Amino acid sequence: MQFISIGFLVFMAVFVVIYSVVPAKFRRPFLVICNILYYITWAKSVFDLIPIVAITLITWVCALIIKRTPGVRTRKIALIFSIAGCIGSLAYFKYANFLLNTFGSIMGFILPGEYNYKLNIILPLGISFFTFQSLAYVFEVYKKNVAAEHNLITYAAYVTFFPTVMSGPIERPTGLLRQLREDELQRADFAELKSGLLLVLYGGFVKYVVADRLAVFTDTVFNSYMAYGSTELWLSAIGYTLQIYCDFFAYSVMAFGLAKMMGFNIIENFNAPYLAVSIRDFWRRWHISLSTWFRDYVYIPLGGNRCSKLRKNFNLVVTFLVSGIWHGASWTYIVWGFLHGLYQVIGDLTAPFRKNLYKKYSFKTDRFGFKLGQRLVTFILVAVAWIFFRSATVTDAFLYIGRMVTNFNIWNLFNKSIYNLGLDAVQVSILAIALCVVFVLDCIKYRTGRGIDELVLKQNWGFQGIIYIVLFLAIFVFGMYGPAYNAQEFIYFQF
Amino acid sequence: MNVLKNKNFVRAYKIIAILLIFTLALSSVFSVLSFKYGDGIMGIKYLYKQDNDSVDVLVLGSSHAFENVNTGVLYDSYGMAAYVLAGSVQPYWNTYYYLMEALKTQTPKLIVLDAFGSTFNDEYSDNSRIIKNTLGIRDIAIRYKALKVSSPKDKFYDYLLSYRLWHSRYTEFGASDFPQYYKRPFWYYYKGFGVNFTTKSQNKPDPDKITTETPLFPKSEEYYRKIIELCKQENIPLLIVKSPYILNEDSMKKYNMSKKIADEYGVPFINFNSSKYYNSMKLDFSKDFADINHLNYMGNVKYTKALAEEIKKRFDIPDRKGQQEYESWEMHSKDVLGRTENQYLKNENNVGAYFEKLKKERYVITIATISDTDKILGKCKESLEGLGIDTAELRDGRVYVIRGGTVDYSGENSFEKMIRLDNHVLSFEKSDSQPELSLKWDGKEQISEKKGCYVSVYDSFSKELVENIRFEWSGSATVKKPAVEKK
Repeated sequence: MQFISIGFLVFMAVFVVIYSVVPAKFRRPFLVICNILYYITWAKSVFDLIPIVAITLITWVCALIIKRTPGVRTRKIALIFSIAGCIGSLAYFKYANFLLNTFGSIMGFILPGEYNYKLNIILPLGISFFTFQSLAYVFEVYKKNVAAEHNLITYAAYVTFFPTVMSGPIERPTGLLRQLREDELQRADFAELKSGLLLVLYGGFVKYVVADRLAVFTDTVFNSYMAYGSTELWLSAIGYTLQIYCDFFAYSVMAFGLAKMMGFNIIENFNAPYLAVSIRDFWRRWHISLSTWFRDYVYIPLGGNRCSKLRKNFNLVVTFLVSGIWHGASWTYIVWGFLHGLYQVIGDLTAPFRKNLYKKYSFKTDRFGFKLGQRLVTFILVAVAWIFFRSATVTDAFLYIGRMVTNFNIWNLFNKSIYNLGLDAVQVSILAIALCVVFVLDCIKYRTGRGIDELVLKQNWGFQGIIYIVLFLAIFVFGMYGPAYNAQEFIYFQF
Repeated sequence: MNVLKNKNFVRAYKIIAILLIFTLALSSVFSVLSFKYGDGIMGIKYLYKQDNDSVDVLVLGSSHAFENVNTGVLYDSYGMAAYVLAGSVQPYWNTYYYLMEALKTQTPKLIVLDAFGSTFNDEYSDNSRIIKNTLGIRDIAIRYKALKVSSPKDKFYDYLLSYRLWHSRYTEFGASDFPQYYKRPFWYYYKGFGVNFTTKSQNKPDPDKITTETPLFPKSEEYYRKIIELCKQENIPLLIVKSPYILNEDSMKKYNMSKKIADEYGVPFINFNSSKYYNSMKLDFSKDFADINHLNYMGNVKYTKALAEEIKKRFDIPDRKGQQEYESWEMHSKDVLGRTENQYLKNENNVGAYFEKLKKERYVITIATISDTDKILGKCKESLEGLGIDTAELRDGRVYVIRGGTVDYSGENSFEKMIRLDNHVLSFEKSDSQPELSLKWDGKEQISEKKGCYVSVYDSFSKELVENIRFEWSGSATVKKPAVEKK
């Protein structure tokens, strides 16, 4: 059940009404029931619930053991057991076939013959997110930053929270769980309902009007990149860079809005990432809940930056390699992660040289032009990395990049042939206008830290109403859905 | 007053105001973007506009019904208030639900069913035909049932939530998507019939030799019987007909089977595809067809009259001519017959006869002359005088506008004049440096020549341009030259 669908609209309306009227003590069990109902709408059978139920139970019990046992050894065993449970299930469901396939390739390299090993595994939806969310809880209990939750219902509400269960943000016990633990769960007030609804509508606009429209174009080019020259390939690489942002940002902002409509505040997952001035800055703004998870539970335990430069850079590369693996069981994601690690290492190593260069040539690094240059370079580096993320194989990605820099056909930018790439002139115009809206709102967010909800809700009620109506109608009319077009699932659902 | 100042009251009032604007905006979007197919959806939408129980003869079927049964002729010549409720390639299961919907507001004295649906062999129609034959139904329950039998299971919800199909129609916007378009008499007095003005010569079939039967497609037979049974149940007489077209052997066998089934129920079945009817109708296969399936403006009159005679023989249908409540049929008939006359005018190549045909009150005629006026119009001096033109002052460089049979304007070298015709503008352009006179219709150039007499004919009743043409003196004769719209 997609967030923007009649089914979900009914589900959410019923939820908000019942959630508002049931006595506070029944809100937590009601929330868990709704979480399960929502998850079931995506599941193919009841058995698909087993992984999420198992992870919930394992981590809940382990955290209680960690809390109640003074012995270090038992605490560690419980911690290892919960890590093994989460990572083990993730490894089995997500990476078993990848590992078998890699093993088969190595075998084939060593011994003649074909070695095709494959297990019939169906990836449980949202497994990457709910395992990480559960692990975050166990880690924090282990570090004694958070008390273990005694009430299974409260904990289950945290792990299975329906706005975030499929695609994040990956919540922390200090955030969502703290709110769920309050004696009486608060329902959303009118302002929160308005704000949440606006965010859901804006997310829908970004997803259905922008991201899915971009997908038509990028799919056309990426799926037969050998037929195109540099102009189309660059445009498509930039298009995919924007598409994946709009797609994932849209989901996150909708999840944020839905949580708000329920009276909860969750992590804001994005903060104008393509306005970042460096790769490091980019990762402070992109998928914030995941990057902070990796920072807190991988990078820092590895030693972080409180060690030698060599070790620090090693830690960085390892963290980004793990991030790549988390995104998918494919070498393309691993190379993508490695590239981001490499970018940062190179950035770190060349920092003194660049600093001297700017000083020597009197570059004023606080000027608009300089910042713009930094943003462009960062954007291009990110876009090139996304080519690996999007391509079917690493070889495809290299071939794609190869054609980008060799098959020049700049004139195609001006002879209207780009209108033959899935989007005609009308569709390109709609896309351009919609992208401008997203860009302007991102610039405002970057400058002032204010999101669309804060901007709109301080306006007069009439103007607010018009914004709601315009957003709804924009999705309704210009959204890419219906039989003429199969709406894309959110890209991050596959992780 | 305290209540009015109450915070919750103010909030409720704001929400209601926004919801009202939202509803208005959404209904406008629905109105503009939703499907408006003339060969399906509009037929049932306009049935809802008819007064309750005003339709005496309800004609059902496919395009064979809405292109062949001329409701204008039925009213003008026989006083029958008929409405064609049909859709493109409409299978019987859609006809059945259309009938069910129609009977909620109408109690016809006769139902005429065109049996083209007997030839259908597919479980489902194509996408556009499913849309055309179901989405106009207003009653949600009937539309649901119609879609259940019309749509493949995997696409059912797309049709049921039809906005999923039409929300992106903004890429194909046209004048017909806006209410103004439907203020023309054609739509204002619409009775489900559309004249086809194309002419294509056809080979005459020989259906008489086919006397055997072949079973109908089971689903078609099921709903064919259901239609008959529904009429029986409602005590409404039913006449099943098959209008003339270029049918094949298999179709003829299916019509024979359809007749057999109709006989079972004691329902008359007339197949007009026989030598007997071809001859009695004086059907000319070289002139009376628009294409293989449909009669044109000449053929439909012949068929309609034959059908009306058969109806008169069997059923007692009241003559509604002159009745105040049936004014819309009167106007519809005037529109249909007028537009048919317009077609005959367009076909006319004889200059004298052409000017004779122009003598109609509903025409607004604009005549502009640049050269050879005396020679061109010399042959039709009397006709011109009949239009009210003073031939003594007729010379090159004059513009005349004739409205309602009298000269409304005449002027010399007044090519700058813009003539407003309802929402259209007819204009001429001629500069001293350019020898050509340009005639523009709504800003688009139609003719630009150095010599001749331009005639623009506008039908003020149907609110349609009939034609922009030019006469020129060629050799020793006057020749009619059609305008070619220049982009």
